[in-house]
Formats: sequence, structure tokens, C-alpha cells
Amino acid sequence: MTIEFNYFYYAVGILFGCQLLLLILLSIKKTRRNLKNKEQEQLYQATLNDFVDFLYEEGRPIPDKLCNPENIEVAERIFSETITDINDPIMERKLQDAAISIFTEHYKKRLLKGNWPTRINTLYFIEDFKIVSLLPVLQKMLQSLNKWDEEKNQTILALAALNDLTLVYYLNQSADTKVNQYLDVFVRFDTEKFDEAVHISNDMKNFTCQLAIINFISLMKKTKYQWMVEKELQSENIEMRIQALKGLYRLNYMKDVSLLVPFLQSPSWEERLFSTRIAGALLADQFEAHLEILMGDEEWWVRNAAAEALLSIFGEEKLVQVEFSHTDAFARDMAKQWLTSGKRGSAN
Amino acid sequence: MGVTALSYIFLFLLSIKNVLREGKLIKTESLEDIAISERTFPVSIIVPAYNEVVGVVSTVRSLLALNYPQYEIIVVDDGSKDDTLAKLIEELKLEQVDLAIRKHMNTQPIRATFKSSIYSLVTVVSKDNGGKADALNCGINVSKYPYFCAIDGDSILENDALLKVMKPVIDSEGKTIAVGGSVRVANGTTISRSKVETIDLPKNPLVILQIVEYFRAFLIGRLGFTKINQLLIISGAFGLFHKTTVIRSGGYKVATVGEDMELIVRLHRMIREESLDLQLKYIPDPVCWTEAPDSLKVLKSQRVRWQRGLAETLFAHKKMFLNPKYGLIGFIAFPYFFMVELLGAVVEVLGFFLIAGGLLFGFLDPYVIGIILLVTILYGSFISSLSILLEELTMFKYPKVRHLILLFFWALTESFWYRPLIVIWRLEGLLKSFRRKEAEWGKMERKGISSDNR
Repeated sequence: MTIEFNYFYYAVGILFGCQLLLLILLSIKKTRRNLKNKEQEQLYQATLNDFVDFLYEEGRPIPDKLCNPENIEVAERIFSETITDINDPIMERKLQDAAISIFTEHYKKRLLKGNWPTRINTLYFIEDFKIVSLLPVLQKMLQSLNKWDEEKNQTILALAALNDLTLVYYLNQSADTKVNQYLDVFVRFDTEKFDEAVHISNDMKNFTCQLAIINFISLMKKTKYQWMVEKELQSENIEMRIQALKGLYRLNYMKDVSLLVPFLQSPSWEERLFSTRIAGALLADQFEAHLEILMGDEEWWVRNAAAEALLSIFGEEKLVQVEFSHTDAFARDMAKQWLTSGKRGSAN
Repeated sequence: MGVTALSYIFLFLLSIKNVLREGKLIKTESLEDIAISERTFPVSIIVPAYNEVVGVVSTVRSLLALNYPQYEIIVVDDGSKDDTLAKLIEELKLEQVDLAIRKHMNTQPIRATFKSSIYSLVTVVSKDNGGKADALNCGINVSKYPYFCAIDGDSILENDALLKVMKPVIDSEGKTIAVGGSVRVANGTTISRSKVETIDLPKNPLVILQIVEYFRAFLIGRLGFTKINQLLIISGAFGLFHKTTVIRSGGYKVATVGEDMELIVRLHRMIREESLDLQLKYIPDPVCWTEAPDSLKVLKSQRVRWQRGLAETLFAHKKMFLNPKYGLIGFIAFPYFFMVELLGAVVEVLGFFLIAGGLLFGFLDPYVIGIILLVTILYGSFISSLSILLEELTMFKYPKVRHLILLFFWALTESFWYRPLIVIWRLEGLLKSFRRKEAEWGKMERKGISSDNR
């Protein structure tokens, strides 16, 4: 009993000691962090004006303090905040060159020796500051990463920001690349690089990549590729046709509106929905009869889109007519809703 | 009590790895793509409100300030007896409209629907009283977007909250059907227009201990369970859901007070029964601030209600208990909630009686009991201090050393007064669960947490 009892004394001592130690350590950490934050804030305030002068005045050097490795976090903050506010290409170039000279060596070390969060944060900065000098390091890193996780994803995004076209080949060769991953890459490419990516994709005939391209063209309103989107209406794959319809709706343009007819009668509600939306957006009055039928569609979204289309093409009178004379109760309800709240664009 | 404490150590070990890995990431960077992306799914935010005249307008205003590409706000007034609806009509300049509503779930009748003439995102539904679950189901019926977010009528979301909870959905390409985030106690902080301006600790020890309790529940409990895909609770104060999946599962169950947990358990059950490749996630980022009870009366009512909800949910899904058909959920999370969270209170009360009886009749040595109690108390506060450690490693929201000392100090006192009270109320909740009662709203005396409201 005495020996067991001693264990309790030890337990009391250990538990109390652990908590006290934890409190002391956390207090020290918090004090240090607060102190560091204060120092960094002071340095930031003291350096910001010099940095702005460097950006705007010809021949001014980068402020010395920012080149000091000890002040790297302040430099990162200043670059991050500045880069989002600058639109002038010459100044962007100046900022990028400055970032390359300050961060390259430091980031190389972090990528090779840093722990996981350090590497990920570094990849964020490489992407933001477009540190092209690290392209070979990143390419090597990508080859060594097998598991598709946050690190691999962020490495790809950083490489995309550096306009590395080999990424398209890399992604096309990987069987499990998703549409969103292509989109993340395309959105970072310059226009010329995207044009080249389209050519590569057409040559390689990778379905996921082509789906992503159709998606991207419409998201970014790249009207010069509208023909590609319209062509995909003939695709045998329903997913591709839906993306093409969605794309044409976003682009708000079709060369041949009559191509919509089969989609307005399609067994797929998504095809009916997007073709209805396109008809409304393009004010295609030849589809009046189709739209009236779609007001009584089994799918709520299609009825909603049909009401919106009829309202935009033919005005309120048409919806009043539907409200009182349509044979379908759902169609009448939808017309009523659009007549009371549709003008604010607040359809339920 | 020992089992409870040991399970928390196990969950802490599961959480710490995640915290050390992801706690230092620059969060805003990882959200940049989502914030500007047209691929982000639009979300309907549903705010069920019952007698929320104090906070509901500031909640709506805070929601209007959210950083998210496309969303709508649906306030469902569940037949409030106070001036909730009148206040909404006046402040949001509501106009009555006819809405064509899809009836996915049956609810109490809708009295009227309104649209704000100044904020096009806002819809208000006035309906007959039917309880929180009924109000949420009504909100789902009215909603138009593929995801919905349920929040309490007096919660304030941080302005990037929706982006944070949507990230796991986008990353998983839709395989994540529900996401919960950390809910934090707002008492003591200054919040304006969805932005937390200053963080401080409240003076009331009752609230301070709830802060510690929230750390423990969210940073140790939920983070640990989500690591092994066993998350059984997403707080009713804030959760994001895939609408079609929730509708398929039957929506919120009306005849329970624990509608939030019941839905999550039912979703898990559906996933297992239909072998679906879907998951539920929790993110440790604090995304929602809520007002904690600052009186014993209200805290008691809340805890009795929580425990009753837990009991009702576990009994309703008892089939999952130790059933191999439900995989590890049936063998880890379900037994944990049953043995620790539900029956733990019974065991603790029995323990108290046993000790009191032993001391009274002289078959226990007071000295031995004293030492054992001391170890138990220190162990309990040690677990709390580990949760404070996790908070410091992830969010370090409380900026001063004074905050740390206060949190540690009150955690040390928890076992003397706070825990016994909670245990008794949990027991009361368990007993009440045997008496069938209609679902009701919790009674919370709101003071309002947003400075916009004051």
C-alpha cells in the first residue's frame, strides 16, 4: 500500500509540474512572439517608405534591411502587400527581379531542408513573387513527389505561375489528374502559354484536359476559342456536351442557335437547363413554344430558367399568360413567382 | 472519469500531429484560389430564429459582409413570440413576395415569405412554430443553392468562414458532404461587421471555463475524431452541408432536441449502409463566434438539452453500436459517445456517492481519497492545459500572457465546481431523454455579441 501510495504522490508532482512547465513555456513563447511581432511591425513601418521609393525611383537600391536574412519575414510581408497593388508591367518586373535577388537562396534552402509547413509556405511565396530562378529546383522536386497531396499540388501551382509548359505533359500523363487541377494550372498561365497548352492538348487528346480547356475558355471568356466550345456540342460524351452548353451560356454567344433544338428536348435535365438559359440570354424568340413546354418541366431548375427566359424575351405579358392559361400547376406557380419577385433577380 | 481522461489523451495524440503540420500554414494563401474562383459552389445560409430579436439583425448584417463569391441568406422565423419578425421587416426593409417553394420535407405551414428591398441576398420566411429542426427543413426547402450552411440566430461568422469550410469540399471534388468548423465563445471579444476586432477574456469564470471546454471539445475531440473519419458532431451553430445528400437522408429530424448530431450520425449511417464514397470533415479554424451562457440557469438549460439530444441520437441509432456493418464508427466513435459522453456522468455521480458513503461509514481512508481526488483534479486540468496548448499552436487568438495564466488558473479549479455541476446537469438531461417530449428551442437569454448591435 505504501509503495502504491507513493505513486500517487509522484503522479501529483508530475501532473502539477507538467502544467506549470507548460504554462511557463507557453508564456515565454507568447512573450517572445509578441516581442518579435512588435519588432517586425517597427521594421515594417521604418522600411516601407524606402521600399516604395525603390519601386518608383530609377536607380534606387533595394533597402539594405530587407536583404538581411534575419528580416526575411518583413520582406515577405512587404512584397506580398505590394505585389497585389501593382498593375504596371515594368514595375512588376522590377519587383520580381528584386524578389529573385532577395529570396532565391533562402527559399532554395527552405525547400531542401525545411519542414512540411515551411516548404508549403515557401511554395506560396514562390508562386506569388514568381521566382523563376527556382524553376529547376521545383521541377526536380515535382519528380520526387509521388503522393498527390498538398505539397505536390502547391508545387504544381508554383510551376504554373512560372509558366512551365512541361506541366501540361506531366498532368496529361498522370491518370488521376482532375479537371480542377488543370484549371488551377491554366488560370496561372500567361495567354500565350495557354494557347500552347491548347495545341498540346489537341495533339494528346486527353479527355480530362479537353474538358478543362472547354471549361476554362468559358470561365475566362476567351471568345477566340468559341468555335471549339460550339464544336463540342456534337460530342458523344454527355459531360462534354453539358460543359459546352454551360460554356456557351457563359460566353453569351452562338454562331448557330438552331443547334439548341435537340438540347431543349433532351432527356438530360442539365442539357435542357443550359439550352434554356442560352435561349433566354440570346433572346432567341424562335423557341417560344419550347420554352412554354419547359415551364412545366419536371425539374424545378428548368422551370425556373424557362420563366426567366420567357420574361427576358417576351416580357411580363407572356408570364401573365402562362400564369392563367398553362395546363401545368408548377408552371403557373413559377410564372407567379417571377412576376412578383423576378424583377429583382431574386428567383428562389 | 479515468476512461474520459484517457480517451482525451488518445484524441490529443491524434490531433497534435495535424496541428503541428498545418498550424503554421499561411491560411489566407490557401484560400486565394477559392475566393476568386467561379468553381466555388454557391451556398444558401439558413438562419433559424426563434425569439432572437436581440441578435438576429446583426447576424444577418454580419453575413452580408462575408467574403464569398455567391450566396443567399434565408432567415426562418419559427413563429417567434417576440418582435423578431417585426424587427427584421423594419431593419431589412422586407417586402412580401410569393415564392414557388419545392417541398423536399414536410414542415409546419409557411405564413409568409419576404425579400429585402435593400439587400437582394436576403429572404425571410415566417412560419408556424415547429422547433429548430423544422425551421431548418423549411430553410432547405426554400434554398436554391446546392450547399447550405446552418447557423444559429445569434452567431457571427468570420468573413472568410464560408471559404474555409468550402475548401475541403472543393479539394475532395464534392466527396466531402459536410464540414464543421471551430465555434468560439464570443463573450469578451469585440466583433464588428463580421470581423473580430479585439479578443479578450470575459470576467465571468463560468464563461472562461466554457472557453476551455470549447478548446477541449473542438481542438482535441473533433480534430482527433476527424483524423480517423469518425466525426459524429458538427455543431448546430455552424456547419456546411451538401443539400441533396441531406434531403436524401430525410433532412433534420424534428422529434429530437439534438437535431445537429442526429443528422450527422444518420449521414454516417447512410454512407455505410449504401457504401458511398463520401466523408464528413472538421477544420480547426475558428470560423464562428457564439454567445455562451453567463448564468447558471441558462447554462443548465443548455447542457440538459445537449445531453438529452445526445441520448436521443444514440438510442435512435443504437443499431450502429458495435456493429461491424458500420465499420470503425460502430467500434470507436459510437462506443466512445455512449460510454464516455453519455454514461460518463452516471459513473461519476455513482463515484461521488460511493466516496461520500465510504467516508461517512468509515470504510474509506479520507487521506487516501484526498490524494486520489487530487490526482484526478490535476489530471483533468492537465487535459485542459493540453487543449490550451493546441490553441496556442494553431490560432493563438488570445494575445496576452495574462490570458494564458487566467485560462490555466480557472482550468485548475474546474473539478471543484464546474465539472460537478455539468455532471449533474448531464445526468438530468439523460433522465429527461426517457420522457418523450416535443422538440423545442433552447432557452438562451441573448445579450448580443456584435458591437453593431449595441
